[in-house]
Amino acid sequence: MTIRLLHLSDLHLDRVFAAMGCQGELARRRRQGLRDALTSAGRLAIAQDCLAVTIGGDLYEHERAGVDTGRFLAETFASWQPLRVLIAPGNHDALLPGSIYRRVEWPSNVTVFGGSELEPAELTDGLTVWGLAHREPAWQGDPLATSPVTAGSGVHLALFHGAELGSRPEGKSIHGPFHAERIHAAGFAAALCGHYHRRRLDSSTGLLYPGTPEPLGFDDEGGRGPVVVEITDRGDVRFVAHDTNRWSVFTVQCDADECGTVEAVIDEVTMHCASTGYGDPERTMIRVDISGAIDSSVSLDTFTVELAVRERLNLAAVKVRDRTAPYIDLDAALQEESTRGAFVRAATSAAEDADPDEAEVLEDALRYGLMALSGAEVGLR
Amino acid sequence: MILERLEITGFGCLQDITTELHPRVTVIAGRNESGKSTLLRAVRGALYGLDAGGQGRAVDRSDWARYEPWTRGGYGLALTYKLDDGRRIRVARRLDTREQSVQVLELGGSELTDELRSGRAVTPGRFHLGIDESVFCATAWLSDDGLRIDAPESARQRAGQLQEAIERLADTRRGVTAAQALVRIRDAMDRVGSERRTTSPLGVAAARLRTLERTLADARTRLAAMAVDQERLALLDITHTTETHHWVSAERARLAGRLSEIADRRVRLADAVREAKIHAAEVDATASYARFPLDVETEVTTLGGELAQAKVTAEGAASRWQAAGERLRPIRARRDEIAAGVAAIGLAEDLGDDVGERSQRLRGELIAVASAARRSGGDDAREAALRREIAATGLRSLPAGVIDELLPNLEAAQRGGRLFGLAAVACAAVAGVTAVGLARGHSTTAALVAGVIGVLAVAGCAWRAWVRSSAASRARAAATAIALDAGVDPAELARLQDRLPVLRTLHEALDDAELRTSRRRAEAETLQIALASLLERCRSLAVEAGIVDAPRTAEATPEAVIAGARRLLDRVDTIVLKARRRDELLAEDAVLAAEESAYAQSSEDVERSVRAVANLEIRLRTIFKAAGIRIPEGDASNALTGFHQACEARRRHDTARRRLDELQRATHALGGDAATLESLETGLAEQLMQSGGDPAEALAAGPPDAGVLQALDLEAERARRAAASAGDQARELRARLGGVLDTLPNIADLEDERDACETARDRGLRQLKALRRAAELIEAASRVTHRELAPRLAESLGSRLSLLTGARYVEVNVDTDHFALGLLGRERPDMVPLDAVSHGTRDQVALLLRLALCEVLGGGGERTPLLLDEPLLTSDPMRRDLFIEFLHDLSATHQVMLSTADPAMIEAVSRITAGACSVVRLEDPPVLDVIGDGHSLGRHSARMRLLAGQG
Repeated sequence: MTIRLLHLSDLHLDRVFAAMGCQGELARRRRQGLRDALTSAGRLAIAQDCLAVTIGGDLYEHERAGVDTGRFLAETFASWQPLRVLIAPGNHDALLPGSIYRRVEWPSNVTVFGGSELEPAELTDGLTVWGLAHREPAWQGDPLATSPVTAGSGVHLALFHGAELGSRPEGKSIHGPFHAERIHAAGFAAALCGHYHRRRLDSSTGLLYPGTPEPLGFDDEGGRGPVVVEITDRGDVRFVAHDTNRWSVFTVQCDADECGTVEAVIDEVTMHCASTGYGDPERTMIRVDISGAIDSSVSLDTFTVELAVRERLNLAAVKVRDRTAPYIDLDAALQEESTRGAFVRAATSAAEDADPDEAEVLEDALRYGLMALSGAEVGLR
Repeated sequence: MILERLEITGFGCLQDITTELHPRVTVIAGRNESGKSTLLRAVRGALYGLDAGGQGRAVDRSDWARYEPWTRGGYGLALTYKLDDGRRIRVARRLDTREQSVQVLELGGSELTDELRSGRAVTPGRFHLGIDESVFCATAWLSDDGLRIDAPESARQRAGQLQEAIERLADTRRGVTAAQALVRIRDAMDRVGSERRTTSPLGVAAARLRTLERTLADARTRLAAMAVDQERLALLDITHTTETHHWVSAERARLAGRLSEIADRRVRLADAVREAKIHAAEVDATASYARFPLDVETEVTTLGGELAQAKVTAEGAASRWQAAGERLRPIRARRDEIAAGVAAIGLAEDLGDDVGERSQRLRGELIAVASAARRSGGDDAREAALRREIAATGLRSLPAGVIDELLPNLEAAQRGGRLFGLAAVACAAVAGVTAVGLARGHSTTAALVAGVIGVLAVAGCAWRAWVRSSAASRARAAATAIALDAGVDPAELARLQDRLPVLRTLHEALDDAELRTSRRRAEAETLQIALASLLERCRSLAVEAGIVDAPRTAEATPEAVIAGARRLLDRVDTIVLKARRRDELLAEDAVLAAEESAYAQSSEDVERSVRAVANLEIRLRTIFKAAGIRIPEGDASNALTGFHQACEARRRHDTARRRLDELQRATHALGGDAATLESLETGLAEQLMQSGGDPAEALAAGPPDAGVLQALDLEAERARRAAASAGDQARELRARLGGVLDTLPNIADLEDERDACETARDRGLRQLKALRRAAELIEAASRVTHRELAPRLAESLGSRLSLLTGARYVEVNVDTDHFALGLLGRERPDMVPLDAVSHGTRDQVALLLRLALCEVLGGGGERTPLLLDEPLLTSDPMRRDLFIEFLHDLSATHQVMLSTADPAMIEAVSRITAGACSVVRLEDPPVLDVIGDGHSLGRHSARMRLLAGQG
């Protein structure tokens, strides 16, 4: 008989979404969406006749999680009974003093791993899940440093929050580093992990990152959701991903080279956003990178563009990044014997010797100065 | 630069036109809408191309779209011009597409297209004239009334002041000055605002951020406190559960203990009832003593004891008094004897205690003095004997000092050189024998050596013998001299020489004896004084001892003094002995008197004991009488016995009653009656069973003692209270948390808003920083540019103005701030501002200023041709003629093309230039009038067609 587990991680309940340009009602909707993702995962687990739900850490964010979150989790998990819930705390929901894991009275079907070394939880005869907890946010231990598994004692799965060093996305922080090759070597049929927000299913090494159930940033594009882990009688492990996300994000590139007015830019951006083929606009967030050379007389204001496009398409959020450059024949300007030429020379010369921050300021200063010298209203980035 | 030929394939309303241009003045003539301005625009387009929009500019509003040919056909043009160095350049542009293919050829030379490319655009005007299109438009290319650079309809600028127009050209070559650009930037800064200006976006964001930071910190604190409370609640729930379990256990133990205790009480109740019956019988039996006065028992017992003791004491005193009578008689007889003895001794006064002792000390001293006196006297005989022995030596007259001098000389005189003389002889003999012996043995050398050694030894001994004989002779002579000096005959001295050491010894003994004699005499004097003092002290002691007749005679010798003193001391000792005897008798009498007094005290004791017995009996009777007990006279002891028996009966009665009372109380304490206890026991057993306990087991365990029972009660109560307390606290905390939950702000919401505000603030600050930096850079650039440009403009303008005005104005000043112009003329000593000069001069200055700007901004390029589009539209004939004259003069250095629809204007140009011009008439068919030198204009033939009507 095939045993099924449902694995999810990195839900990040109570996350802030200001970085995506969300606040107020929209941010609350996004947070409610995260809770909905958890309840829908439970429904999926029951529908798939799963034996347990495993959570690979970062279930919530400790510094913002309140009483209500603890109550929600306890009630949700209680409603899943007799489905068992195994939780391996991660760096965002570390098992700290004052943690929700410590202060909430969990229902009997919930097991929160508390040790910093793998400890067993037998799900059924011949199937054991080994889990550990991050007891501090900056834990750097190797989850697979030891091999606690006794050979020939059934199927063993590891459940933890960690960073697989072979597939670490650029810039992603390292917590609980390990190598995928160690999974089988340590006696585990698979490692049900959390930490990376992009889904990764690797049957050959047994590595599973389900990714975030809902997009948490504009880089989290594509289908998202929990993964069902199937363990056959022979001990083979198979991963089946399910796309259950109700929110979606897109990043579009918009070239505004041909746009002579702000309205033209808005039209161009609207067209690009509409071309993404999004589903429910009220749960769609689009990031637009506007590039190209725009005449200095065009006062491009990102807020205006965001507002206009959002209203036109009824989108949940539009985030515009102004990466345009002022339309200017730089060579000619540098040689021009005028205040404008002197200004361009001074700005470009200063930018050459400036640090990145100062260079950015000088780039803006050049943009604003050229706008002003062209007689147009200065459009602020 | 001289423009030579313009070929238009299609450009606006013009099509297939080729026209040759005069090197000095070319007039483009035609009615309105005939294409005069378009032709001039075509020249500019050939030099700089046409803006086709894109990159932020609308294509449909671009010049490329505007000048598309009105009819189907080609869209293009070509311009041929000559440079100062004689090279001829042809620029051909195909404008059918926005990309505008261009070809620039040096006629008779190579293609220059790529050399004249700036970015994607090919702009020969920029390279050859040195100015970009905007400067060209602002200077060399004027529309109708554009002679005035400040005209409201000038090509691009709409400035109101000439200086401002120059400033715009200098600053941006476009529509604004640096100052206006700074105003734009300050407007933008105002839009951003500042952190302190709370009504500005930045101020709002900063203020809101501060508020949110505080709110967030508060919320975090509250959240942390709530987390603590929640942990505490969880602990309280656990404690409540634990304490509840503990309470149930403690209650079960308490019920078991209580059940066992009730059962035990029931048994004890039955025992108490039985014992109460016994004590009730005793109470009944002793009921008659119930009121016996037990309170006086202690007093009666005490008095009884005291009475018995008093009787014993009285009997003892009587017996002691009887024994004392026998002892008193000998004591009194002895005391009489003592009194007689004391009287017989008869000493009137008491001697001092130390008289006897002092007498003994004086006697000791007396003995010592007497023995000292006896030791003096022996030394005189010895002295005399020594003198006699000295006299017997026969050398009595020789003093001891002389003897000391004589003795060494006499001893030296006796030591002669005889021994050394004998030694010399012996050595000579030995040496001679040895030498002979060796000589006989044929050892001549050895014999000689022995002989020499013998001679040397003989010589040494002989020398020593001679020396010692000489010394003995000298000592002998000295001794003789000393003897003569002392009056002794030397011969006698030699005879008595052997006695000299003895004589010296006798002299020493005599000196010693004389010394001791003198000492003894001094001691005898001291002894005499001591004896006198001793005798006086003996007399004083005798007087102190009461000897009134002590003799005071002066004794001659120490022995007499000693004898007198000894007699006095004997008499003192006698008196001392008597005094001691009298004291012994008096002491014995005192002892006997005390003994007699003690016996007399026994008599008083007897009387006192009898009185005490009587008093006690009286007090006893008084007490009995007061207690209501009558006793027979004189039978106190029996009365006491009866009293004690009655007391005992009363006590038994009281004890029985007390015990009965105790049993009654114990019975009450045990529950009153057996039925109640039984009911209680049944109830407890049921409760115990309900709480999971076993009554039988509890009963079998036996009753706990009171302490244990109390501890069980206390523990059960404590557990109940602890459970209740934990429950209450948990309920209270839960309720409080419930209330706080509703008021706790959502941290994530706050953080979202805080992050948004922070982003807005940072964005605003970044914008402000960039804007400030832009303003700084523009201000600095403006200052530098103005400082460089103004003097060069003044120089260029001044030289040309002097030439063209016949040196009426010789100098021009250009202000570096805003390019304000001032002219210095011959007629006035000071600078004249531009607005103070005549209208015509202002026009001339404006035109020259354009040329100056061309020069200055062109940076040394070709001379720029002037393209004037109906410049004198509103001028009166006089002013027009003046200006045409000026243009004619100017055309010597700068080619002039001007358009007009006024025939009078054509006529005036022809007249003033004296034919040094050409006129291009845009008519159907087009006509080119060549005025002036036909040879020079021979190649300026033209074929023109006005296609406007054809389209």
